[in-house]
Amino acid sequence: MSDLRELIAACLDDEMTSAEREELTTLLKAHPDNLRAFVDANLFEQHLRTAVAGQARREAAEEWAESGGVRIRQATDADGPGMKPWLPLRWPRLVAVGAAALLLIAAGISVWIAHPPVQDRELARITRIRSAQVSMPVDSLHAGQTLPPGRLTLVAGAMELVLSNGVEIVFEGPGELELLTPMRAILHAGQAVVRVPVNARGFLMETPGASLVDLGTEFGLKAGPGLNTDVQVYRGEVIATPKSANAAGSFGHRLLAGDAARFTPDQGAVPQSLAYSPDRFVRRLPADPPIEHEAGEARLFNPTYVGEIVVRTPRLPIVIDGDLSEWSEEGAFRGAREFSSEKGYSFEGRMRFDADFLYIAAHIGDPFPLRNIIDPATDGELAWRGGGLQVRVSTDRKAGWPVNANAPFYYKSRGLTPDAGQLAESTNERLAHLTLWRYAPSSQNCLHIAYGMDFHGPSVNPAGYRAAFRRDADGLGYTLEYAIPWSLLHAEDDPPRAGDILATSWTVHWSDASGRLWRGQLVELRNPAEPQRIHTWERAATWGKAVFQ
Amino acid sequence: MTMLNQQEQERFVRLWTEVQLAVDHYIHALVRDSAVARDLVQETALVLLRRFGEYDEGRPFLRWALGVAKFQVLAFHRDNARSFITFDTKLLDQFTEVWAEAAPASGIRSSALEVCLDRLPARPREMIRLRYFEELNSEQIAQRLRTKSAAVRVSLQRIREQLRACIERQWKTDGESL
Repeated sequence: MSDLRELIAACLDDEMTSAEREELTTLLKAHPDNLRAFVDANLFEQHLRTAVAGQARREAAEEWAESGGVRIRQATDADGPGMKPWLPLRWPRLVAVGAAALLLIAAGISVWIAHPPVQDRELARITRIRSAQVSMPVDSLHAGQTLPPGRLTLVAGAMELVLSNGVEIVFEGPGELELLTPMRAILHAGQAVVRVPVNARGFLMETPGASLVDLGTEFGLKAGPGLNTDVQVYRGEVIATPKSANAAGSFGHRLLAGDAARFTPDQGAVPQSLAYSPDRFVRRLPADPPIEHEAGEARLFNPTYVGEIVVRTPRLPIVIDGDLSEWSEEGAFRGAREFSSEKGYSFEGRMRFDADFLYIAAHIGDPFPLRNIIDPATDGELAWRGGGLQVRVSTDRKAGWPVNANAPFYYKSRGLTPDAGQLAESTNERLAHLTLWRYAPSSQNCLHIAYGMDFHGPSVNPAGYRAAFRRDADGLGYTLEYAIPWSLLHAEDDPPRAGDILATSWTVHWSDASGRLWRGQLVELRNPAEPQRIHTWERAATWGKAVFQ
Repeated sequence: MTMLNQQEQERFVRLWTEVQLAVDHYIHALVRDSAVARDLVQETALVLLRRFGEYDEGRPFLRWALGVAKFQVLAFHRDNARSFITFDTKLLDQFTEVWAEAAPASGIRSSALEVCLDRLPARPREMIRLRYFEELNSEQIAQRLRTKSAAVRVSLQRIREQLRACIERQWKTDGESL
């Protein structure tokens, strides 16, 4: 005869034998006190479950709020062979990597795959992969590769997976997807489309901000900044339940085909309705021909050749019309790269300034020009994926050059603890990250700005800037021309002047023909003294020199 | 379904908010699968809302809600319910009855539980997280932590007991400070 306490413990751990089950049933019927003890134990366990979940989410949210940073660390020998790519065993890990990916959003690129300790079973298989890229040496990824339970960190590119029960997930970076069981996964950050066959009805996809129970359907979701979760249902229905404390006691929301909604912590249980946008999520990767891992193609750290440019006042008034005929050749700089030996990916850039504006002009060679379909209304921080230009610029004369400011990611990924001064530098309002693109569906010339190395205060299409795009006559490139008022760069009271030496860096992005899937980038204007394997979005000291004349 | 007027809707929301956690816990305890449980909680809430006109004000709302939840569990997922309780109707009724009595008082000490969770050393804390947040079984936890599943089961039981003892201590301390 087993002890009641032991039987209850086995029950709570879901590990009772049938004999123990019968024994426990008999004991529970034998005396009301036994049943009471059983109910008490179950109640306690449920409170424990609720408390643990609440605490994990709270810590994750606090971590997000504090730093926007990431707990990603590079593997060290001390981790041991089985633990290499795994993060420290800490609760906030729930969205810490998500935070990282979101930090990367303003620029970043690459793939990092985290294999768990060796598992006996294979949970998923990669069916297609597109422009996936590793940021540090790990196993290569390829179609057909099987994956055990664990985490996939994809900072750009996309892959299509099929789980052992037929659930299909198209996972798009930057982000992190954790595969737990055939019936449960967590999208810590990034975007995904989930297709669930009838036999897997009830599949649970979680994000840091919501739980989505799939009732045999297809839906897209985005785990975005600030614990926001966007959901869009293509077929069938989904029950979406916000996780925020404000939403405690709330109902789940039944979303049907054609519905789109955003769940935010601030709004509690009430989701914000979004416009249904069929092209918002990648539902299928290009299948013909399947694109395997393109080694080196989506490289993150290209050699750079330009460390300094001249930014001068315009000799002729600049008209923002996409025609650069009034721009002189002074200060022009160029770069080019290939994708699988395909040529035509190049750029030429120039910058000018006057008392009111910073001017940016570029001609970008692109076989698929101006196809970007990343909607500024919902995904502006990810717009670079569809092709465009990112310019990072300092207007802080006191910071000089090189600028000593790093993203929280920079410290955390290296196991460093920034002091108060370093943290203050990372939030410098006069460091700005600009993303310039044309939103093809409405021909809108867009601008996304975030500030500091912590990417705070992001805004999309703020008032005051002017922009123009012009497609090349041969359809193999485009010209962009922007005038950014100093007020948008927090420099209206003290704009740069002749003689200033400030910091700037450019990253040109190209997409594939869909205008949706990032294909690769080219970074130029870097500080040659900085190691190449540091992203310009994580360390401002990597930015090149802008000499104002 | 009878349409509720605004006053009735507000009353329903108030009552449901009071019992939602107890119902959620009850369903989780019976089906022991978060995804299914969440689904059933939603279904239960919808049924309660639709049938709110039938609710007898003289009866505790929790009992009524648990009664509906019980049928949701039985009707929707009987074949898949993991708890053996659902296979014995009489025992399930008794379980539900005791749950209705015990649940309202059980939540009072949840704040103490959070304090005690914070005090756990790193490894037990991680073990609890893996069990109750990531919902891994002892074998999966053992793989993650590189130990044996039997050791995990013993540890989980000890941690639960430690937490209960901690709550009692915390409860007494709080009581003394009042």
